[in-house]
Amino acid sequence: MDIQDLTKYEQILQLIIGEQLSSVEFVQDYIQFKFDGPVLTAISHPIVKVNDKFYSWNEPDYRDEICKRISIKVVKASICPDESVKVYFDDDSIIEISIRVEDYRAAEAVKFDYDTSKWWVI
Amino acid sequence: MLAVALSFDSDTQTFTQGFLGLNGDSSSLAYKIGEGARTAIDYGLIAVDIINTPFSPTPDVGLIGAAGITSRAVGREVAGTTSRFVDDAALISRRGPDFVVTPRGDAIPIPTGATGPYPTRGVGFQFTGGSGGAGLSPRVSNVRIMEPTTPRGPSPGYPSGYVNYSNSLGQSVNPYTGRTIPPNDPMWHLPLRP
Repeated sequence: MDIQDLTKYEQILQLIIGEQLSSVEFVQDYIQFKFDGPVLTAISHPIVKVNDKFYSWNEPDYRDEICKRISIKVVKASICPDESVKVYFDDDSIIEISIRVEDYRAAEAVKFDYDTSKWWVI
Repeated sequence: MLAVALSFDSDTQTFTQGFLGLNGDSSSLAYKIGEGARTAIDYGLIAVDIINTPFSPTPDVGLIGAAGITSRAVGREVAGTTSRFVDDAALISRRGPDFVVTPRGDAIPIPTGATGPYPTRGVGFQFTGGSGGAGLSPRVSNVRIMEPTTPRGPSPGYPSGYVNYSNSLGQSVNPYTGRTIPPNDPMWHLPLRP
């Protein structure tokens, strides 16, 4: 992925800053995070970091911890090339979606829909 | 990748087409109507030969058959063969074609009533907001036509790109049943012919 593209993607991702995580949808075996409009689809399984503890897919409390982020505002969003997409919440928790090649589960790892028909995909 | 978007106006019995050129940068869409094409309408079948189009590096032939096509014109001529698409608003307000056809003959049905193609960042283009048609489930709203990818994890890579259909919630679906599918379902990434 071109670094310039990722920089643009990261700029666009800033749209969710200040927005709350309004809902979480578990679809088949991936997750959609919704921010009262913009939707971040994590095809690669995200991890959640809460109080220095990491929760991974299929671990106990994983889904609970994901859903506990609902209603919490986003304070930061970043894309680290070849590493991950990270969403930082107001309670110091982080949702991290890997974009490392070895972690891809399909041709796409993350998709972000931010307007009726605007989107990017990594 | 070069693809062709087709549309037929049943009121005026005229055929239009647009060429979508993706040359590693899908923000530069070349789009043109009609030039270098022959059409034949027979028993509701539309066949199109694309000959020596200015956008094609080699003379490619795309063939498509479709019945009951009702879309209106989709194209607007843009000067130059690799014009940057400067008038996104004109595109966005436009109803999409019925099919997009690749040079290798892959016909990609566009959900009925979908609009587009919508410009995007780097990797493909999409038509959104439609519903079914051309064998698609009514629950299919959107289609993304994506550029080639390299192998990643269990993904084999798609050297000619792939197609993805989704519902109105942006969730990938089986285009025929409309049911949501996981990423490892072959219907998530429908490979385009090399």
